[in-house]
Amino acid sequence: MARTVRKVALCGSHSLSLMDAPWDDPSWEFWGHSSARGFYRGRIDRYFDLHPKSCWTRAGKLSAAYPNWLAKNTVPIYMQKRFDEVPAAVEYPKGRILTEFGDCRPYFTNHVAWMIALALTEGVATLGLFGINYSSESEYQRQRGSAEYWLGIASGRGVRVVLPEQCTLLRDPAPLYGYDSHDEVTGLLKAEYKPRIVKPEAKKVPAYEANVPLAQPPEHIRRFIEREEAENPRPEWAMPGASIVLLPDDQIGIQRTDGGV
Amino acid sequence: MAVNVLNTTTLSEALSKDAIEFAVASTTNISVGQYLVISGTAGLEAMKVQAIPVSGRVGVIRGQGGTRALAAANGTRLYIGSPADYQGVKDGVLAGVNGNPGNFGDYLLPGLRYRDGAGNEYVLVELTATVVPGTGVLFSKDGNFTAAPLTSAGFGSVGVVIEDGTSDQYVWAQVYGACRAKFVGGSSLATSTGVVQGASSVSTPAVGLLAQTTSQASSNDALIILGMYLSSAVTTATTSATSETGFAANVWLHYPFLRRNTATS
Repeated sequence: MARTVRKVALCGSHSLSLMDAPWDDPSWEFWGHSSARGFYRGRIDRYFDLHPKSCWTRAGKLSAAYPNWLAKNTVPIYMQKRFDEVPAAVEYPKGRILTEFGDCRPYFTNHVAWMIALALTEGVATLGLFGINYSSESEYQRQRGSAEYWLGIASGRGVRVVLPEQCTLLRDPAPLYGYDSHDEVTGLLKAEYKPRIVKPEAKKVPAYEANVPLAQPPEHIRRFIEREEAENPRPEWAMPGASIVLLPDDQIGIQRTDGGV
Repeated sequence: MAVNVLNTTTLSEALSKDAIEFAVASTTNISVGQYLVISGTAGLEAMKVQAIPVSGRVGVIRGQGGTRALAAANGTRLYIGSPADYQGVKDGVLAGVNGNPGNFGDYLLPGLRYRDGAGNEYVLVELTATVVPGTGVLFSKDGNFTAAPLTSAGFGSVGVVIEDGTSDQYVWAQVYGACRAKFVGGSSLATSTGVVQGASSVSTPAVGLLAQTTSQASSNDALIILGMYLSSAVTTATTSATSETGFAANVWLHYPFLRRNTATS
């Protein structure tokens, strides 16, 4: 099917809003974050990882699985520059983007901002965000504003913005301030405007062979594991470590339902 | 429960996805109507044997039973069996697990991963020696998931078997979560701050593991099993039906592995 209108779906790992990604609709392109690749059930046309090299080579963070994947991946992946060990790496045109959007604020505090800006330079007509929410208690809180800013830029340039119902970007809180934000009898703020209880960041749990979440180790063993994984990268011949996830204490026994890019 | 292994042979040539006749190391145990199955890290494909044109060659229908044709390297293992044979293996290995078995396919062969309802994870292995529940075993690195009690000389992924078994049987080995492991004896056994090593001596039956305090641990830290952590003090335990030859402790498994022993390699 020939694409007549450029439709780009930006994909993250927020599981609730990733469910509605149009994987089976060939009219969409899919751009995703490479660290969330385990969550994607369909093709990805471009990956992005704009972190410095030290992020993906640091022992213990991702084990050897991610560098190995980068070495074998054939889908274009936008990075800060080309790397010999990442054959599919494409240098992200940071200079061109900053120049082209010189009339906007250089408010790039997350991957989505860079992805939206690139899509705008390529004439995107429809932008969808799936699996992107920036709502958990982590650096995502600090990054949310930039995501909404660039969605506003896109919308202002006539781009149709598609957000799934489960995504809270651009609609939280929903009641119109002043008109609908306060209780008509008491005059007090409605719950939607009260300080939000932010969910703690939940670690990513990629798809696995069973739907049962992994058991969680006792705290003192968790510390052993974290130290050992940092000091001893898992050899390739060892059973995979990339899927191993330790949940925060308050998430133990709960399947991940929230997160972000 | 432990299940007797199926016959196997190996590819004598590389297999392309569309090949329907190829060479195998032996056709001795193969007959028309049986299924040849590729499993383990090579992927999963079932092929129905249509013909044995000459000794050492088979003609097949590819991608049976919901599997897809795979390309496979020369030397890849092929499991041999009738549908009833594979069903027998399936019934046997599923009888060895608790919790929610989930949806399993028809071909449950070494390398199969399973997670129980409590979030513990297991892998099906083919034994090459006698074990008891709690024996630490080393997995082969050839993708066939054969397993034998640990020694201090090998390296590779490690698991703790959860059932009795002997050579040429399939059993489950736990690789993640809480379990009870058995150890050969020691004069001063470890507490929960200790480490686990491959055993340097073999008991009968072998249990593969040696628990030590960190000060007892060898200066060659490659002997320490990574991803296996003591979570209780070590106590005397029965390693067979008739003899108390070893010790036991609770351990936490985190996909353990034993690095190459730099002292012996």
